[in-house]
Amino acid sequence: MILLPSARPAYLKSFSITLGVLSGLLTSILSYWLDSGVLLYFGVVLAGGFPLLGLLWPQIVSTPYSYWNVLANCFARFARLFLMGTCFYVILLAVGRAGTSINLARPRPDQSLWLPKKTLSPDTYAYEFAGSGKHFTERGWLRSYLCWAKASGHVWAFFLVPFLAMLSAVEIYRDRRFPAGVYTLF
Amino acid sequence: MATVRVLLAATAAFIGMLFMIPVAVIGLLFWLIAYLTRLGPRLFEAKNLPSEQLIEFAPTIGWKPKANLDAYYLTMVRDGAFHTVTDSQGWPGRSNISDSSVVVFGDSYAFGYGVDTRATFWRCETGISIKAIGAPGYNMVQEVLLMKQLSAQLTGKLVIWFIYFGNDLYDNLLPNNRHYRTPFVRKSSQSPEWEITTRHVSPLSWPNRSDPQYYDKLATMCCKTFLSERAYSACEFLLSEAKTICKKADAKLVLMTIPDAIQLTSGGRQRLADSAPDIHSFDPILPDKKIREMALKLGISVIALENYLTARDYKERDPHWNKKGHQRVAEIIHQVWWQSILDTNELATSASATDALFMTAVSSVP
Repeated sequence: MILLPSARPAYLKSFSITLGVLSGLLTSILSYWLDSGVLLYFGVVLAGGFPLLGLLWPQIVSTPYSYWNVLANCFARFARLFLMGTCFYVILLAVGRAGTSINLARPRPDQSLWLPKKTLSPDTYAYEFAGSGKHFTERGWLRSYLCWAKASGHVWAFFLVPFLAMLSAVEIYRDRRFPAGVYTLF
Repeated sequence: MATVRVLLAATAAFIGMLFMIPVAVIGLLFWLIAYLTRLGPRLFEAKNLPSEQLIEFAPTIGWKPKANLDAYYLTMVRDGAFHTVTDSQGWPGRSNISDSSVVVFGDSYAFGYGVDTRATFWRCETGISIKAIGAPGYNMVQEVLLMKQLSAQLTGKLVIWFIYFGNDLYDNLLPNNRHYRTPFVRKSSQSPEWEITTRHVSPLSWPNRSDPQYYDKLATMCCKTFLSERAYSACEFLLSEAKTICKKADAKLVLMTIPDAIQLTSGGRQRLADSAPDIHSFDPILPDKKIREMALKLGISVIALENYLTARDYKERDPHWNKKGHQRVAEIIHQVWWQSILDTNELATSASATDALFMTAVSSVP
């Protein structure tokens, strides 16, 4: 979501306009805040210069474009680490203080760890595992997750959702396949 | 215990969210820039047609561009979109064969792949009208079949046949190009002669889509191997077929060999040499030498574009010509056409003028 697509002229142009407008806006706010006229001029130059450069010579923008992607990659890596760290060291550690329902004690010598299970009808044999794989689909992962949390008694896991959502936002997917619709016969 | 967990989780999540605010703000900035950048093609590119909407199945030859196209298509991802126009038969440009002095048969090079229609060699202002007959991915077998189909319209024309060394020689032996079925040449068990096979050509997808690794195959074509000997033998058969078709149609056939950009630089030639299956027989201009031998044997003129083009005439990211390359090829075709007019009018003195140009073209080939 945060990575720029493979550079082609149209993307380079829109990137230069976006960067120009945002940097101009940012420096203008800063100049107002700091009451600096020089910064305002700088903002105007950035707001006009970037789009002009991108529209006239898009290839020149390809270097900042690729650097921006490197930056986005680094940020994504850091953000993922930070998010997972927060989930573990803040939330899971806090939840862990309430104890666990898993029996972690060493079993007695005569104790069996087998769990009783009712037998299934032979008609269901073919579907026994087929149904279990459908819980977490890419589209409805949130609903499936909430259902699982509720059904398994881990309602506290609801609070992980914002973190998981942020994690999915900074996840970088690299699709190595050739994009569809490209006329590739040579 | 569950309630305690929920309370603890809620408190911890709140604290965690506070930690997350700076990350979320920076992430939002990255997301906003990526989102706005992705809007670029809507603003700066015409709507592209996906590849399956640009071509259609054609019996015997496999596929051809759709008729009356006026559309944009994407080439290599970084190159962007290019404009193409086809006539009522699906061939590039709006002109027809009867109005043209020169008919060019070929593959993507003839189609003008990778440049806008207005920059193609058949649209460059050279004073002659050129009709290109070709589509991306064609092999020489498809081009011979097209020559046969259109032979009635070739009378009195100068027919130029583009032969691209990057894949044409090898593709002549294959029954498919990716998942498209292509006519090809083979030697049947009953006869030692080559024959064109089209029986398998249908709209059905070909099951084997393995990567042909064209640069490795080009390196093989630059060596004396079983595969290259077979490919050159098949090529000679196709050249003789084309010669016969053009002779019957009273058209003059000129071959124009197109090197891959990799053959035009010392670094590229070294890369080819590194992939060569037999380094002792490796010669980067062997394909040109072989075609010249065959052409001399069959009495066909040949222009080796290796002597006219440089790597700067090619695009950076794919093996096709850029605008400059198309302009250069248009000039060469114009020159060949003039020479053929001189030949026809018997203005040349001793040797034929086209042959003189041919000799110039190949003279630098050791």
